[in-house]
Amino acid sequence: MWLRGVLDLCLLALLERGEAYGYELARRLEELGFGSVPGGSLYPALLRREKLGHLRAEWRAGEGGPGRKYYVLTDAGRDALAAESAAWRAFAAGVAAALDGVRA
Amino acid sequence: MRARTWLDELAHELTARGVPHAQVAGIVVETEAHLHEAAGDPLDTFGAPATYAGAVADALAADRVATAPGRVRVRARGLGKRHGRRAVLDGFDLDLRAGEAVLLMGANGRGKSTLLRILAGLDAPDRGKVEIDGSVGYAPQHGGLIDHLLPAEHFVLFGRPRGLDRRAAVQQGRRLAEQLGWDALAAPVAGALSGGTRQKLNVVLAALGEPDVLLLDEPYQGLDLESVQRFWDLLWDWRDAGRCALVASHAHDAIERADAVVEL
Amino acid sequence: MTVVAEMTLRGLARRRATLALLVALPLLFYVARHDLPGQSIRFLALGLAWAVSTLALFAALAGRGSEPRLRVGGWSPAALLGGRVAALLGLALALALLYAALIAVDGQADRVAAVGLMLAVTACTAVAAGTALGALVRREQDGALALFIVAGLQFIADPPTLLAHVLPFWSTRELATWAIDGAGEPAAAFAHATATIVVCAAIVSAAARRSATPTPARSSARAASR
Repeated sequence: MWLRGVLDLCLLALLERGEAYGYELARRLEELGFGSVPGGSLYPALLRREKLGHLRAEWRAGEGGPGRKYYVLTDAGRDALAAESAAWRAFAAGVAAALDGVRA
Repeated sequence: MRARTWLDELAHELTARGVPHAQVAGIVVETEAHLHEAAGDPLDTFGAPATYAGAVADALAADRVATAPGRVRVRARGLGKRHGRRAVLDGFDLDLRAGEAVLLMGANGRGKSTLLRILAGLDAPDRGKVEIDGSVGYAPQHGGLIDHLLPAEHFVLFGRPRGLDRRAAVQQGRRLAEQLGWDALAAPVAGALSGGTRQKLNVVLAALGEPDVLLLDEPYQGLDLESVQRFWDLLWDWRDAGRCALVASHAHDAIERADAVVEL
Repeated sequence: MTVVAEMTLRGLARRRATLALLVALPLLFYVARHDLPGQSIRFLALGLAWAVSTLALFAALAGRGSEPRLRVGGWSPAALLGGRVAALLGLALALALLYAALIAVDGQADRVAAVGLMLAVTACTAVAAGTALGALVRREQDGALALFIVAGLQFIADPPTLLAHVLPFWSTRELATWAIDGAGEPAAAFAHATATIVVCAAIVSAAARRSATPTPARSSARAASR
C-alpha cells in the first residue's frame, strides 16, 4: 500500500539518476523491493508531478510504433526532492524513536 | 480483460471526465506501451478503466493553476488588407494574451497567412494597427529556409539575434527538434529535407531563443499523427511557461487542442 | 555580423561544382590565350569579374527567402547585407590575390602590383554588381544570363564608346590597359569603379526600401521581459 506522496518521492529520487519511462520506473521500484507497482498508482503520480512542474515529459521515437514518454527531473523537481526527502528522513527518525524497544 | 477492450474503455472514461482529446491519446499510447511490456491483465496492472481514469483525471486537475490569462501580448485593431480587388481582411481585431495557444481557422486562401505576416511585420496592412509586447518568432508555411545550410547552421544564425551563442543555439535547437521527434544533427542540408521535416525545422527556428509570441503558419501540415501529438505537447509546454501562440491551421483536430479559436 | 558572413561562405562552399567552375573560369581564360601575355591577363580579369559577380548573385538569391524571416527574428537589414557582402569581398579579394600571385610566378607581367590592384578593384565592382543584380531578379538563371551578356558585351565593346562606359566593368579594362601597357587613365578608371559601386549600392537600398515594411509597434516592455 502506497502512502500518497511516498510513491511520488521515490519516483523523483529514481529520476534524479537519469530520465526513464513509465514501465522502466515500475521495474526499478520492484527491484528496490517494493513488489510490483500497479500502473494505476504509478502514472497518476507521474502526472501529478508533471503538472506541478517537477517533471518534464518528452516523447522519444520508438523503433516501429508510437514512441515512449520519458520523464525528466526539472530544477523545480530537484528542489522538491531535496525538501521532501529531508522531511521524510526527519519523519522516519521520529517513527524509529517511537518504535524503539517495541518487540518486532 | 483483453487489452484492446480495456484501452477503448479507458479512452471513453477519460473523455467522459473532460480530459482533452489529445491528452487522452497520449495517455492511451503510454498505457498501451506499459501493458505491452508488462504483459499481464490490464485489470491487475491498472484496475478498472473507470477507476484508473478517475485517478488520472484527478492528477491532471491538480494544480492546473488556472493561469489567469496574462497580459496582452498582441493587439490588432481594424486590420484591413486587399489583394487585388478582394478584401482579405476587413476590420479584423485580435487580442492575444500570454499563456494562450490560439488556433486561427479558415479555409485556404482566406487570409490566414496574410494575417500572420502582418503580425510578424513582413507585410503592411492597408489600414488598422498592430501592437506587440515582446519578442516574436515566426514560422512561414513555405520557404524561409536556406537550402544550402545544415539545420545546425540555421540554429546558429537564428539564435544569434536572440542572444544565444553558438553552442547554446545548437543545443537548444537539437533539444527542440528531439521533442518533435527529429534528429537535427544527423540531417542533411535544408534543401534536401522532406516537407514534414522542413516544417519541424521551421517550428524549431521560430521557437529558438524562447520568444514571447509564436506565430505559426500551418506548422504540421504533412506530419504523421505522432508528430502532431509531439507538436501540441511542445506548444502546451510553451503556453504553460507563459508564452502565447497563434497557430494557423485548417485541420479540424486542432480545434480540441487549442485554448481558443479565431475564425477568418 | 560575422555569423552572417560565415553562413554565407558555408552556403557557397556546399555548392562544390558551381564553386569549382566559377573559380577555375578565370584560370581557363588565362590559359586559353597564354600565348598573348597582355590579352591573357585581360581575359583573366574579365573572367574574375564574371565569376565573382555570379557568386554574389547566387549568395543574394540564396538569402532572399530567409532574409525577411531573419529580420523578424531580430537581425537588422544592415547586418544581413553587410555580413553577406563582407564574406563575398573576402572571398573575391582572396581570389584576386591568388591570381595575382599566379601571374607573378608565371612572369607574364612587369608590373605585378598594378595587375594586383586591377584585380582587387575588379573584385570590388564585381561583388557590387552581383549583389545589385540579386536585388532585382528572382531566379538564378535570369541573373546568370544577364551577367553573361554584360561580361560578354564589356569585352567586345570598344573601350572609348558609350556602351562600354555604361557597363560595370569598364574600369577593369581601363586598369588592365594601364597595368599591362602602361597607357590609359587610371584616375578615370578608379572614378568609374567608385561610381559603379555607388550606383549598385543605390539599387540595393532602393530595392530594400521597397520591400521593407513598418514593423508593428513594439512596446519597450520587451527588454524588461528578458
